[in-house]
Amino acid sequence: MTGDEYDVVIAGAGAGGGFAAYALTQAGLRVVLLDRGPRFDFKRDFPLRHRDWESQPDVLAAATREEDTIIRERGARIAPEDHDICSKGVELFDAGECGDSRRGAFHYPRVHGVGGNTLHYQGEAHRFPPHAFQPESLFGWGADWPFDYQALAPYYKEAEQILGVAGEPGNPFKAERGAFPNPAHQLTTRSQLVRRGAERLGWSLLPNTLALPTRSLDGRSPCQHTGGCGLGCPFGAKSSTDLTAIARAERTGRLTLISKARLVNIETDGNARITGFVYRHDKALKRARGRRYILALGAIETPRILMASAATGHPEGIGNANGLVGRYLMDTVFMALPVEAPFPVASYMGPPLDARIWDFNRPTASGDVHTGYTIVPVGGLRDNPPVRYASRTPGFGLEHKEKMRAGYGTRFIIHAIAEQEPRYENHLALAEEHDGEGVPRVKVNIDYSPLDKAALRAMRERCRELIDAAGLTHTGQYHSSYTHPASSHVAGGCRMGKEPQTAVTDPHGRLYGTDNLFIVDASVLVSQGAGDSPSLTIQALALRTARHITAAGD
Amino acid sequence: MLSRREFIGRLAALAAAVTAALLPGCGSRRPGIDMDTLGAVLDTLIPADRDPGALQAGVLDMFASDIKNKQTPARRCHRLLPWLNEKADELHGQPFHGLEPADRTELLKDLFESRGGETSRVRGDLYAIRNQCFHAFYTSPAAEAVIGYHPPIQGGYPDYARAPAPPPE
Repeated sequence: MTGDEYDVVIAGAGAGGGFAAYALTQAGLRVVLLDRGPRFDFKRDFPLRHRDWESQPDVLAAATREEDTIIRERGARIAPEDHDICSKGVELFDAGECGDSRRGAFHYPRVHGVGGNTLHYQGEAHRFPPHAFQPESLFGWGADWPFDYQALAPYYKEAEQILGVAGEPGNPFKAERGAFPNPAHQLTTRSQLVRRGAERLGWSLLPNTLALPTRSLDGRSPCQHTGGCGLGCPFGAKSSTDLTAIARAERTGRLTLISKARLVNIETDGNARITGFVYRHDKALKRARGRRYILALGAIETPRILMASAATGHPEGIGNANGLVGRYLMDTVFMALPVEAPFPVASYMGPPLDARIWDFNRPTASGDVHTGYTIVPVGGLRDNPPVRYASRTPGFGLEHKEKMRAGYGTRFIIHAIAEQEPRYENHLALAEEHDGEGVPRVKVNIDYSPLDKAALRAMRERCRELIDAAGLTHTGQYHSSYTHPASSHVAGGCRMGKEPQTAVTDPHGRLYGTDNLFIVDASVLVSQGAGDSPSLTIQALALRTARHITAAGD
Repeated sequence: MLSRREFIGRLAALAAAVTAALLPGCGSRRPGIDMDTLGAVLDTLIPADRDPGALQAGVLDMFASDIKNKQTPARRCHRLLPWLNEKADELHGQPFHGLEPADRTELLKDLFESRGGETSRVRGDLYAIRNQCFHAFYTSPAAEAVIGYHPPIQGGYPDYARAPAPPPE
């Protein structure tokens, strides 16, 4: 096995790993960044480069894998009293219909590639609201973060600059702030329609804050409103990590990026020092050595590799002396209701999530008791492929053409997303089965608490009210995460905290029980931000951890 | 002053005319494939109205290219087109492309709705040609005229920064 020595070795080139690499190389450190996936070239690889994109390979979907890390098993049996928050296929159960059904298997769509999930995300760049850092003090559930919003605010600001975030200040449900690097996107036609309904209900549908620059940034195109963010932006306009932080790190000349390099083991000296990351690359096992090591593999892979790297001095896994690695895992709690507008609203076009309702992001805002949530109309090309729409629309001739005129561009989704109560019981456990590298796979054990279920019920009702008020037609279909988990925002598993007895990392992301291993991904999140998307917080935390490393100086 | 929609419609028609001029008698260069009948089928699947139809969008030329280069589309045409002509002759005493639009529509509708083994293969061929026609049409510039959607283009949209339209009251 060969190996090179760097100042810092990072595994995972997604939101956190990319931003850590940026900050460390800017500070003069030599960094190697490993990612198990390939590097994509937006000028060559993404289907929207082609007029007949629906016939082209969806490279990001093909790179979205989970099967070799997770044991996919169906969940617990659904109690009759929970039928109202369960979807069977695409319809909600009616009372008594559920029978002996069980929850679906945990689904964790994660892109393997340089840029990670920012390759297929919709560009949402949210600062968590201040109250999301103190759920225990303010609302009596979960745990408080080891620092408050103000401690993270400068890093939020820096990350927004790197991403060229477009937004509009003045959101009353968020902390006061200055101007965004870019002006907000104008609301799409579909969101203008939904806004009318929201205003009738006394709610506010506000422009989303998006890493989709409205002006040219770093020589890249501004957002062109194709609506195809999830398919990979053909213009390179979306500020995925590979095009922003990693590109900037590369320009320093101090970054070594190794794609298709999969971390398979963490080596230690038997005590508190990490001595190497062992990875598979070009069919060979190799070792990267550094003074510092960073894990940025996400909330499933990071706990898994820590638990699986049990060694002398770390019999329960690295950093797992307190048994908390893999605990306090948080799923994505959501309810999605497909709708149709009474006329075409070009629902395929523009940023897929260009606006949000934040009125309910404070857990007690509606008088109910639940975790915080937000509501968002979701459009975009991925759910509105024109050729597939034409093929599935019955008939032909003038009648079909009229159906296309009247129907295409009317469909979108009203989607609500809540944070899940972080609980000790929700956890990862190593399985007997191994992946292709001999690393144990994991079982995901997540159940919904009464608070989580209350959030689902509240979201369902608020979505129905919004649909009626906006004059939309609910197609009758639902997607409830309770029965069909699809966790794009999974978090926790290595949560940070002030005390090693109750947390996995310290407030700067250093793994307790080690001297030189840090974590900069969603696994360190203590809570999920009241329905906001986590990527900007992960990026801000990565900058904060990297600055801590460079300040330490050894 | 032409509207954007009219401009695109005329542009698509012009493109089809130029292609036809450059490829005179394209059907005659593919013995066995009756391009007149194929054109009539495509015109029935997506006829022109205030916006271009399949023929104006150049869909026939895309089919001609496919038939030349791929076996499956040619095989489908070889099965379906003679069957349609035979049926048209039986019912109206004319080949399919000689029928009035309403009669063509009726014949295709009957085939789409037919059940049973006798027509299952040609019905499958018709479905495949329908979907291929929709694919060619809705990935062409003509799609914008009909549904407002414009496929991504190299270099970006010239008018991406225009404000989204407000929804009707």
